[in-house]
Amino acid sequence: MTAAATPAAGLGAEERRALVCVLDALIPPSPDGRRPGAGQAGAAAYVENVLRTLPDLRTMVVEGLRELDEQARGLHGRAFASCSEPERAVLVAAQPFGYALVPHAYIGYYQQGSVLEALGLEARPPHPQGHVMTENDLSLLAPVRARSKRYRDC
Amino acid sequence: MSQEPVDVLIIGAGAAGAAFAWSMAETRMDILCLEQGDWVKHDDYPGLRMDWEARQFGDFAFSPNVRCRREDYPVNDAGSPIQVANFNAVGGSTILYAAHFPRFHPADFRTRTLDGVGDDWPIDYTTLAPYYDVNARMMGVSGLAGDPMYPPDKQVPLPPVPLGKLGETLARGFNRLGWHWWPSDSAITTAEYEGRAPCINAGTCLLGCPQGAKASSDVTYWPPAIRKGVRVATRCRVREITVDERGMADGVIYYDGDGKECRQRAHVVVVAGNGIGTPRLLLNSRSRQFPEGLANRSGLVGKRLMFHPYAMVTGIFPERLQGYKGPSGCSIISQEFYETDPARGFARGYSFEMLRGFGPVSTAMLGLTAGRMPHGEGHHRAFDELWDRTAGMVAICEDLPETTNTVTLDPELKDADGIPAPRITYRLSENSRAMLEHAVARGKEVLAAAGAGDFMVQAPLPVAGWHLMGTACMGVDPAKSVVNERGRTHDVKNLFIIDGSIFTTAAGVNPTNTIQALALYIADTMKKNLANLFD
Repeated sequence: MTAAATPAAGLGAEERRALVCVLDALIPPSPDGRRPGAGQAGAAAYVENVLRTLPDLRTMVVEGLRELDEQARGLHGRAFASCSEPERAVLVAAQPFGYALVPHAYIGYYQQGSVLEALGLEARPPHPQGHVMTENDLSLLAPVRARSKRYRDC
Repeated sequence: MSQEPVDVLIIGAGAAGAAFAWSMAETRMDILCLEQGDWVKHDDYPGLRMDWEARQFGDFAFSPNVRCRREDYPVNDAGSPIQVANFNAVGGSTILYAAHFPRFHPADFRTRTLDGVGDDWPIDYTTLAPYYDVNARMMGVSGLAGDPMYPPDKQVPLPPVPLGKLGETLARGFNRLGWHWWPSDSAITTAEYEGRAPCINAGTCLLGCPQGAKASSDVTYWPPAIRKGVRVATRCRVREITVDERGMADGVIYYDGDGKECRQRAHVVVVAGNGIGTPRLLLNSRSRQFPEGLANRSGLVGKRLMFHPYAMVTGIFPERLQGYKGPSGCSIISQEFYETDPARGFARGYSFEMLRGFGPVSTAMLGLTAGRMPHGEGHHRAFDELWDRTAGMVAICEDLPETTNTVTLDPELKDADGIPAPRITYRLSENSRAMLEHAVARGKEVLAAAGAGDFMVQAPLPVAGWHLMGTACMGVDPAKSVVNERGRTHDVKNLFIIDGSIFTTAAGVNPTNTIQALALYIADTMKKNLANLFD
């Protein structure tokens, strides 16, 4: 119930690269390879926009990304973004900020054209083309029509 | 604005304000409407963009507390299990509504006499029936005649919206149980109509309709009202209605879009601010004559708040349903449990309204909310179990008026112009709880009959405070109501209220059709009684 905050700055290049990896850990590519991971699909741009409007979340994410990097270097001797997918998945799972990112990752992911196509949809917004639907089968109403009035007179 | 008084000043350009303005326009009086929001450009609607579903969590959210647009006022609804939903613009909440457009039943106006609960309205179904007809024509309502739940003279001008595979699947479930169902009355054009394009089944109704097929009042009533000379001033937020020494309303003080305090005088003031905005304005309009708020000598302004508690039951089906196609809130309605049956353990009843399925973003968020959408390994499998396999239904339960459910002024929270914001105090009654429980059980039963193998339930649905009613109720006794049978406040003879706040009872259907029929009826009675309007 507060007014929208002043937009915060975007992420740096390294932070952005790490964010893409985190998003791929939250939604990895599908096992059949038909759906990309969230980072690959481009969800980071949406998430980064969200972070610009939510400074508290941005702070949490930036600190979390820094911690991830430190942990990665300590455990694996390289930056988080350079770790393998299984290594990154384990690291992200231990980070509370990942949970805070989940809804934004989902929203960012399922609006990507490549994801829509993988789901069997066209990669376009609903308007202005819309969707074609079949004619109504109003014969289904026969048993309802056969009933007497159901409202009360008064 | 001019320093000269206007003949009629309408506050609020939503469903009621628009219908009222259109009807009054034929008088050629000087009519001005002040609206705190702006016109929504149809090119700005989310449905034209790839991120359309995401916008429901931002600038097109139902909750003003999430949208936080400048024209929104915050609502402290922490004291309610149901959060307020609205939209502030020319068109008001019709910009985001589902356009489900049922009428009240005749019995809805006689709940005290028939069922011993609530209060009887001072008007009846036959009073409003001609105005329902006018409203159907003006809004462009689609549907099907012959529904045994309604008197036989109910007509709508357009054929029903497509049921689609999802709707027909559910209809078969109702038929298997022998329960009532009928294609929804929908304020959605299913064919070219009065210059409006037909619905293209895009499924974005709840985020506004770029096509103009959904009947928001900015595309239905306002254009002809403006052509007849009614003026609409946008980004004008009314702070208070002022009264003269005789206790008559003499105008308003408002803030323009730059936050500048302005004054507009008027001979007649008509409030159309909805069931939250209207009591807020009246309670903010304190004076020597009305120390407890304008037109509040009964003490009932802001009391008897009614929502429609919603039970949402979503069935998960083995096959894909193409549920992302079609008007998102309208397909079929069931009123099997609408009229009172004492054997059920509660008074009054509810409608079932079938929803469509969900888009990909909404599917993922629904699953997340229900704890069925993990991240990481297993995400895609979980998504596939829900994607295009869900069919939702909501039970719209009739709320009963209780004076303990209130809109008051928050002592701290204010809008961008510094005007005290509303605070909601609301609890579900035992009657509503019993009704919700019944609806959840029956909802599962019919979804199972239609083929669903699993369910998700939310009851009450928290983000469902769309229907805001009862907070300036209509009645014949000035001690027990705020407005009379003509919408005029008992206490101020040139102050009228025309929105959902004047509902005596809530019925178990979406209220917009009745709100507009009431506004048209009040306008008509005003026109017929201009010579003695203040007697």
